[in-house]
Amino acid sequence: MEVVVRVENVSFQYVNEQTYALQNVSFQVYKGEWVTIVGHNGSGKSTLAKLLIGLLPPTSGTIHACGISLNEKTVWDVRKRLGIVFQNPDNQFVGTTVQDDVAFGLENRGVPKNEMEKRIKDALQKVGMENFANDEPHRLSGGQKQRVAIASAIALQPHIIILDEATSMLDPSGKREVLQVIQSLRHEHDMTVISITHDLNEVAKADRVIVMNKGRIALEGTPEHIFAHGAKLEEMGLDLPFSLQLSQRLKENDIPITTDHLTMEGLVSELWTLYSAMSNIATK
Amino acid sequence: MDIVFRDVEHRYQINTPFEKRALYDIHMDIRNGSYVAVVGHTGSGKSTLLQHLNGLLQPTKGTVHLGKYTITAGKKEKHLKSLRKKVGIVFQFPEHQLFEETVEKDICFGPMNFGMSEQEAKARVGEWLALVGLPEEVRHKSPFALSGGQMRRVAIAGVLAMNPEVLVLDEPTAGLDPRGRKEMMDMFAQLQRRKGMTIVLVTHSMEEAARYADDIIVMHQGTIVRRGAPEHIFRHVDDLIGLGLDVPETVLFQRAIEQKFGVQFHAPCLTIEDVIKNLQTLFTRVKRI
Amino acid sequence: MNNMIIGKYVPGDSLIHRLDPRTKLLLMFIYVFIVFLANNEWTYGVLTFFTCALLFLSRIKLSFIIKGLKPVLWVIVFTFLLHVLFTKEGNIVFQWLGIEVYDKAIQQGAFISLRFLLLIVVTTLLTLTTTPIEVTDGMESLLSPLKKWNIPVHELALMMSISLRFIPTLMEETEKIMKAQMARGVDFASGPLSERMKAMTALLVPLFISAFKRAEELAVAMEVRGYRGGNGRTKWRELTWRGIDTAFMILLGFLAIVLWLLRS
Repeated sequence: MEVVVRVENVSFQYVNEQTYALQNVSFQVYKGEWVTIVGHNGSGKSTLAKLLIGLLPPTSGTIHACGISLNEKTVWDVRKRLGIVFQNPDNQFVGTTVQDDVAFGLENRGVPKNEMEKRIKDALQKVGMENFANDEPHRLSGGQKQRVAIASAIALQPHIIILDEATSMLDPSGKREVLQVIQSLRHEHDMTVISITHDLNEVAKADRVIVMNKGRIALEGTPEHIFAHGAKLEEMGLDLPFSLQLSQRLKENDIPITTDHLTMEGLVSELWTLYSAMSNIATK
Repeated sequence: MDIVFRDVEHRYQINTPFEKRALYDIHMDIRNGSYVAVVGHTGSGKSTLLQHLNGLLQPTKGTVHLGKYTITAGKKEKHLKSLRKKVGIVFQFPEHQLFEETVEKDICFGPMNFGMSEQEAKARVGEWLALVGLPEEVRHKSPFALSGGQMRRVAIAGVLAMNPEVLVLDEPTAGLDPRGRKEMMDMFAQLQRRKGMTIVLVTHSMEEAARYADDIIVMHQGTIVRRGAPEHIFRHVDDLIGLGLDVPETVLFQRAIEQKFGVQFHAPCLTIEDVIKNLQTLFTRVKRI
Repeated sequence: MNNMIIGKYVPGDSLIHRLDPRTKLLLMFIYVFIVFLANNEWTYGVLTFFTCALLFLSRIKLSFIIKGLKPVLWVIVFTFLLHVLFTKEGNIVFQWLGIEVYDKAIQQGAFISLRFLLLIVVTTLLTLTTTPIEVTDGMESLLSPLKKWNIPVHELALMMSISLRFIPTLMEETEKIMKAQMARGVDFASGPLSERMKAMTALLVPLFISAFKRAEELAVAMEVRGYRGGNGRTKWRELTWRGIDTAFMILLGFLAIVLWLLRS
C-alpha cells in the first residue's frame, strides 16, 4: 500500500514550556485510509495537527506528505495536496456567500473562470449544498458551514483531507451531517482522511485509530482493537461506546456474554442467542 | 422562585420585512428547586426562551412570572437588575465573557455589580473556586492563561458568585471532552441538591437530559410540543425521532431488545443500570421456568 | 438599530437589482452632483420624478423606505425649520411673537430639505438593491486604474469583503457578550460614567480577544487554501456591463442636460 503521510520520531516543545507537547511520535497513513487521531484536551493531538499542516515545525524528527519532506521551503507545495477543515465554522468562511467561499481557494490557484464554475458546482454537490450556493454564511447552520468548508477543500482536489476537530463545535445533527459527507466522499472518491477528534462516532467509523496521551502515542489499531482496552481509555479521559460499556457491565453482573460488542445489533443478537439457549435448557 | 409563562410569544425585528416569530403559545411552569431540561434542535426557540428567564428579552405577547416579578408584553419592567441577581445565566461558551486581569477580579465582577463590597467578594472567592472545582492557585492568574476547561469554570464561578436562586445553563458542556463533560454535569447536579437551586438546562444531549433532569420540555419550531418526566418523555421514542431529535442510547437499546424479545419493560431505561436491572430480571425469569 | 435600513440589502430581481454595480455606484456619485443643479420648482420636479421612477423600478415597498427614513426625518425637519427661521428674504408671510417668516425662506427650506431627502433616498435605494459584495466588486473595478500608482486596490477590496462577511458575525457576538454581561449585572444604558466605562471594558475586552482570535484563525484558513496575495489570482466574480447599463448612463446624462436647461 502506498504511504501518503509518514511521521518519524517527531517531538515538539513550545517555547517557554518545560515539557514536550509531543514526544517521539511515529506513524504512517496509507492511501485511501481513514485514520482518526484521538485524545482528551491537552493530549498533544492539536499540536500534532498543527505540525501536519506545517503551521509549526517539529523540534526534531521528520514529516513526509505525498512523498515530499515537509519544511519551510516545501510547505506551500505540501499544502496544495492537503484539504484542511478547522474547528470553528465561522473562522474559516472567507467568502460572502457559499459559492464565493468555494471560489476563494480556486482563485488563489489561478483556476480559470469556466473551470471554476464546474468545480464549484461539483464540490457543492458532493457535500449536498448545491441549493445554498448564493446563501450568506450567517444564514447557515454550523453543520452547513462545515460542509461548505469541506466543499472548499475538495474543490482544490487534495490528496488528503485533514479534519482538525471539525465537528467539535457542532450540535448532534451537524456532527452527523459532516460525518455522512466524509463517509460518502470516501466511498465514492477514495479520499484519504485524517481526523483529529475526541468524538467517539468519528473513532468508530475510522479504519485505524491512534490514541494520544501525554504527548505520546498510547495505542494504535482498529477501533475494535482500541476499544478492547476499555479501562485504559477511560483512564485517559475518553468515553467508551455504549454497547461496549454495556457488554462489560453485563459480564460483571452475571449475564455470561462472550464478546465486547461495538454495535448495538451485535450485542442484542448475542443476548438473544443466549436467552434462547437458556430458555431451551429451562424448558427441557 | 417559581417560574410561570402564560401565552408567551416572541417576535424578532417586529414590524420589519425581517420579522421572525421565534416563540409562540408558550405555557410553562417551573417549580422552585426543580431541575428542568429544555431540549430541541437548533432553531427550535430554546435560546429565545431562556433569555426570557431574566428579562434579557421581553415577550411580544403574554406574561412571564418569575417569583414576585412579572414581565408583561409592552410594559417596561423597572426591577430587571434585582431580577437578574436571582436568575443567573451561563451562556454557551461562557469563557468568552471573561475580561479582567485576574481570575479573582473576574469572579467578583458580578457580585460587586449587585452591591456586594469588594472586601466581602474577595473573601469569598475561595469558596466559589471550590464550588467549581478549581484550585486556589488560579486566583491571581490571568483567566486567559488557563486551559479552555478551566476558563469555563471561572466563568461559571462568576455567575454562581451572584448566589442566584435559579441557574440557567445554555449548552454548558459544548466542546468539552467526555471527562470534562461528566465533571461539569455532576457539579450542577450537586449544586441543585446542596443549595436547592432551580436549574434550567438547555441542551442538545438527550443523554444529559435523561440522566439529570426531573422534567423535560421538548421544543419544536418555536413552541413546546412535549413536557414531562424523562420516564414519560422517553416512553414515546418514535415521537421524538419524528421530531428529528436524538434518543438516549439506553432507550434505543431497550427498544431493540423489546422488539427482538417480544417483551415490554415497564419503564424507559434512562441509565445503564436500568438496562442491566431489566436484563437481569428477564434472564432470571428464564432460569426459573 | 434594527430600524436602520441604510446598508441593508433586500433581495429581489427588479431592473435596479440587476444593474451592474458599477452603474449604480456611478449613478450615485453623479447624482450627488446633479442634485445641486436643481434650483427651482421645475428642476426639483424633474429630479423628484426621476427618483420616484427609480423607487418604482426597484419594487421595494414604499412603506419600508419611509419607515427606514424615520431616524433621519428629524434632521430634515430641523434643516427646514432652521431655514424658515433664519432666512430673511422676500415678503413676510406671517408674524408671531416677534418671529418673522418670509416666503422665500419657506421655499428655500423646502428645497434644501427635499434635496437632502432625495440624496438619502437614492443612496439608500442603491444599498437596498445591491449586495455589499457587488459594491466591493464595483469599487475594485472602478478603482483598478489606481493600481498603476501602486495603490493596493485588490487588498483593499479583499479587506472590505472580509469585513462585510464578518459584520453579522461580530454583531451577533457583540449582542451575545452584552447579554452575558447584563446577566452579570452590567447596565449598559444608565449609571454614572465610571460604571459605564467599566461596562464598556466588559464588552470590548472579550470582543477584541475574540476578534483577534478570529482574525488569526481566518489568516491560517486563507493561507492553507493557498492565498498569497493578488498576483496570479483569477476572479470568480466578473462584472458584465450590459445594454441596460449604457442606457442608464445615457439617461443620467440626459437628466443632467435637462436640469441644466431648466435651472434658473
